[in-house]
Amino acid sequence: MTKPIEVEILLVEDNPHDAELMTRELKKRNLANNLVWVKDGAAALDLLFGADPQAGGEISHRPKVILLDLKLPKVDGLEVLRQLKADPRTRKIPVVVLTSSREEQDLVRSYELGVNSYIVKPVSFDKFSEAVAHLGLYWLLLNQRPEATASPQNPRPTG
Amino acid sequence: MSPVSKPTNDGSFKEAPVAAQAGPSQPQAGEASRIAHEAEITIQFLRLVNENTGARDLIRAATAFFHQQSGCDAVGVRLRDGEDYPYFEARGFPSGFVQAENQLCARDPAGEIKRDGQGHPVLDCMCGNVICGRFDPAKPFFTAQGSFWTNGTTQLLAATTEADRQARTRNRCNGEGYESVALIPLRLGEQRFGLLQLNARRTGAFSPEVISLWERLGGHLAVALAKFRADEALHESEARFRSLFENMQEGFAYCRMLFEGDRPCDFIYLHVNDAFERLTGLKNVIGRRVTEVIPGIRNTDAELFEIYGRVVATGQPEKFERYVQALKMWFSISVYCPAPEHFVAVFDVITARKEVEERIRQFNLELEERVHQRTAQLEAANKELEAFSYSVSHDLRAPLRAVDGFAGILAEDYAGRLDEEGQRVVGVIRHEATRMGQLIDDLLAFSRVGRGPMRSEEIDLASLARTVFEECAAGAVGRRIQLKLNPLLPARGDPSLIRQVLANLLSNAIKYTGPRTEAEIELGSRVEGNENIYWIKDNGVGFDPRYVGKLFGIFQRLHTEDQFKGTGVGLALIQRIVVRHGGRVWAEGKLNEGAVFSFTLRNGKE
Repeated sequence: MTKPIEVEILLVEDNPHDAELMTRELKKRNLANNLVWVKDGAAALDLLFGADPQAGGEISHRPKVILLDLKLPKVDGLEVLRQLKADPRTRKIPVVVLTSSREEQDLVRSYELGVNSYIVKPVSFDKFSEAVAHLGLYWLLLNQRPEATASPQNPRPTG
Repeated sequence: MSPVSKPTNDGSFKEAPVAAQAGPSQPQAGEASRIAHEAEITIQFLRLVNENTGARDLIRAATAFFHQQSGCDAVGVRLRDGEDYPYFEARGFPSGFVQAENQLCARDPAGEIKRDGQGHPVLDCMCGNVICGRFDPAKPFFTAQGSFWTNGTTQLLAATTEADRQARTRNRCNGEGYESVALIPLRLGEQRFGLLQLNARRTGAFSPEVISLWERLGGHLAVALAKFRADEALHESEARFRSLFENMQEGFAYCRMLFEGDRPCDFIYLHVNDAFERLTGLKNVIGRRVTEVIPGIRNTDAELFEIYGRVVATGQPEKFERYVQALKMWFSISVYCPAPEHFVAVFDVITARKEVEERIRQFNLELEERVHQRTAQLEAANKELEAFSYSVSHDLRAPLRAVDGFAGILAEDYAGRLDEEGQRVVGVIRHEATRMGQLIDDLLAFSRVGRGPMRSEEIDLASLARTVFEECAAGAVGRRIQLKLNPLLPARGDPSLIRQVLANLLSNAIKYTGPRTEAEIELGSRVEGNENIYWIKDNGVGFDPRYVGKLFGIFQRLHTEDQFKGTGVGLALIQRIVVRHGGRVWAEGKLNEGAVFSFTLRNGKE
C-alpha cells in the first residue's frame, strides 16, 4: 500500500485567491511540493487527527508548518489552534497564523494558545509575496524540529 | 421726718426710743432686756420678711424698718446690677447724694470702668471695701463679718490715711455731715451682692452690739433676697420652657405606659402641647387611653407599643421614623423615659417628606433602569461597531489583496504580452489597490482611537518627540531636515496615543517641507492656565487659511495625491486623540509660508 505523501506545509485558508497567491509564491521557491491546502478548520482537524479526534493513537500527518487563517468556515482558526496545542501529539507542530486581522484580541488570544508566529497578511502583492517566501524558507529550511517528532514519518524507500 | 430722728438732737444713740434699751452703755441689769429687745426686733423683722412675697417689696419694707428701728437719718440698700452696685432703695438722703454716690465703680478719665488684675471692676470708697470683702478685722472700724462702722467720720478721716482705709475715699458721707456710718454687707456665704447702709448726722450712733444686730438682720435679709432671686430665676426658666413647649413646632406627648403582665398594652396621655393636636388632628386626648383615642392602633401598629415599652423598660431613649398605619401618616419620633412607667414622645409629621423621598427613589429606580437600557444599547452598538471594523479589517483587505496580487501576476507572468499602455494600466490598478489598503488601515486606526480604554501616565514629551522624529526622518532619505527642539513640558496621557499625535504631526511637517532644500521644524510648549500648549512649526508649503476649517475633517485634504501622498486621516486622528484627552487642536498657516499646529493637554492645575 502506498504511504500518503509526507505533508510539509498544511495551508488552512478559505480564500482561494489568497491560497493561490501563496501557493504560487511557494512554488516559485520550490517549497510547495508537499503542500496540502484545506479550506476550513474542520478539514484541517480531520486531516491531522483522522475522523475521530478522541480515538488516540498515531496521527496521520506531522507537517513542518501549519499556515493557519483565523476566519474560517465551520471551525475557526483559533479553535483549530487550541485543539492542536492542547493535544500532546500535535503540540510540537509549528503553527503560523496568517490573517488579515490585526485585532489585538486575536493576537493576544493566539499567543495565549501557543502560536509559534503571527503574520498579518499585507494587502500589497509584493509585500505579501515576500512574506510568504520568507515563511516558507524559514520554516522548511532554517527551522530545526525536535528529533522525536520527525522520526516516525521519515519515509524510507521500502525496496 | 422719720419718727426716730426726732428726739436725737444731741447725737446720742441711747435717747433713741427703740435703740435705748439695746445701747452698749446700758448697765449690766439691762443686758437681759437688751437681749429680749433684740429678739423682739428680730421677730418683727422675720415677720416682715415672711409677709413680703417679692424682692422689691421686701427691700422697700426692710429699708423702712431699719430706718425706723435704727434712729438713723438715712438708710439705703445697694444691690448688684450688672457690674455696679447702685442704690436699689434709699431713704432720708439728700436728693443729690444718692445720684452722686449711685455708682461705685472707679472710672478712668475716659469714663471707662477701671479693672483689677483679674478683670473685676475696681469699686471705690468704703462701700466698695465692704462689697468686695476688702477689710482688715484688726482695724477698729471693721467687724469680723466685714462690716464697716464709725461713730465719727471727721475723726476717722483725720486719724487715718487713705492706705489705712483700703481704698480711695470719696468723703461724701462726711461732706454731707454724716458722722455715724455703718455699712453691712448683704451676702450669702462668701457671695456678696449688696450692702445695707445706715447714716446718722450725730456722732456715736452705734455700738458693737447694735452693729452685730444689724449684721444678723442683714443676714436674714440676704437669705430672703437670695431665695427670691432663685424663685424668680426658676419662674423665668419655667416660663421660658413653657413658652418653648407651647410654641415648639414638634408635637409633644407625656404619657404613662400601661402593662398587661410584662407586655406594654396601652398608654394614657398625661400632657400634650398645641403642636400635638395640630400635627395629629387628635383633640381632647388628655387623660384618655391611646386605644380609645385611636381605635385599632394596637392591631395596626403593634410595634409602636413595643418601642415605647422598651424605652420605658430600659430607660434608653430611641429615635426613629415610622409610618403609623392607624393615622396614615409618617412620623419622626424621639422617645425618652423621664420617670418610671412614663415616656415622652417628641415627634414631627414627615409624610410630605417621605412622599417626596419615595418619588425620588422611584425616579432613581426608573433612571437607573433607563441608564441600564441605554448602556446595553450602547454596548450593543459598540459591539456592532467592533464587528464592523473587524470585518472591514478582514473582509475588505482580502479582495484588495487579490486585486493587487492578480494584477501583480499579470505584470510578472504576462509582461511580454502587454504593451506599454497595458503595463501602465496594470500599474494603476496595483497603485490604487495599495492606496485603498492604506485608507482601510488609517480608518481602522481612527476608529480604534475612539473606543477601548485610555491609560493615564506621566509622559516625557521631549524625549518622545526626539525618538519619534528620528523614526520619521529615517523614512525621508536624502532630505536635509533641521529640528529645533525647545524644552517640552511633561504631561499626563496615554503614551501610545500621544506618540501617535507627535508622529502624525512630525511626519506631516517632514512631508510638507518636501519642496524645501532645507526643512526647518521647530517644537515648543508653554503653560496657559490649566493647559499646556504644544506647538510644531515648519517652513513647508503651508495652506490656504480659507480652508483651515477643513483641515481636521476625516478624509479632507487640501492637496492632491500628486502633490503630497496621504489619506486625509492623520489630522482627524490627532484631533480625536487630543479631544479624548480633554484638549484642543488648531492650525495657523499661509500658502507657501509654513504652518504652525498646536494642541493642548491639561496640566493638572486648576
